[in-house]
Amino acid sequence: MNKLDCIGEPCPLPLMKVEKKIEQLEKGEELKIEVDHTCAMTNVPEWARKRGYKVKSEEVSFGEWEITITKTD
Amino acid sequence: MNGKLRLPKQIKKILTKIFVRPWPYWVGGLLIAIANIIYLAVTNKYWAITTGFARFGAWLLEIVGIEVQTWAVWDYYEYLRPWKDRYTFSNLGIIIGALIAILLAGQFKWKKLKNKKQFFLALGGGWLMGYGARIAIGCNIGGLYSAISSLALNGWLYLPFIVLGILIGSKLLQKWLV
Repeated sequence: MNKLDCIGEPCPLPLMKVEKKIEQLEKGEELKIEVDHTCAMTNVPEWARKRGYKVKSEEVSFGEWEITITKTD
Repeated sequence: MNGKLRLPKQIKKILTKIFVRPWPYWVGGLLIAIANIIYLAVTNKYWAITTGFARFGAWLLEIVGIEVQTWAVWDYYEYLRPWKDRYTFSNLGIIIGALIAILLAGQFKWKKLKNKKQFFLALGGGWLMGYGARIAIGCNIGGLYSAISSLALNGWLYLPFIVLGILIGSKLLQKWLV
């Protein structure tokens, strides 16, 4: 399982880390990202959707989210 | 009842859009422009941030007995004690306003430091920003935004160099932190 722990990291670090990590993934692989910055909750899914990736996100506890991106194409 | 306020779905959606979701950039820009016009009209001074920080820091040094009033920097702007400085209050306004916004969004949360590296980076970055802003006699608000909006040329000179700084900063971020 590919995981990125971005808890406690301010923007734009989560997005930059996701961009780098996803490059290393094969098609069809999943990446889970844990974030606690609300702006990462906006810009990470937005970026992934723009590239046509599948995105799921859920609030695991108050103010902490887990975003799951599936790399397509 | 589960103790939560029950609202019709449609109203809840609108409230979420206003208070929780980020506003588009153009709305934010327009509101800052309007607030800036009011600020200038009411106070007769342009909006700035770090001028207030410099005066506050100097005042702290004054308390411990350092003679700050004679410093050459006050040729550029007047030395005022924090309670007589309008920027103290507009800076407090920003903090209180941000607090109200995050409380309305229901997202207020204390955040822990991730590690020691983050602590030192934040400290170093803050110092560099503060030092740079004061050496330039203005941050991106007083030196860029207020300058350009009051048709001063120094704002336009500020612009390419702040963009250059951001470019270099982003490259360093990518290299050392990502």
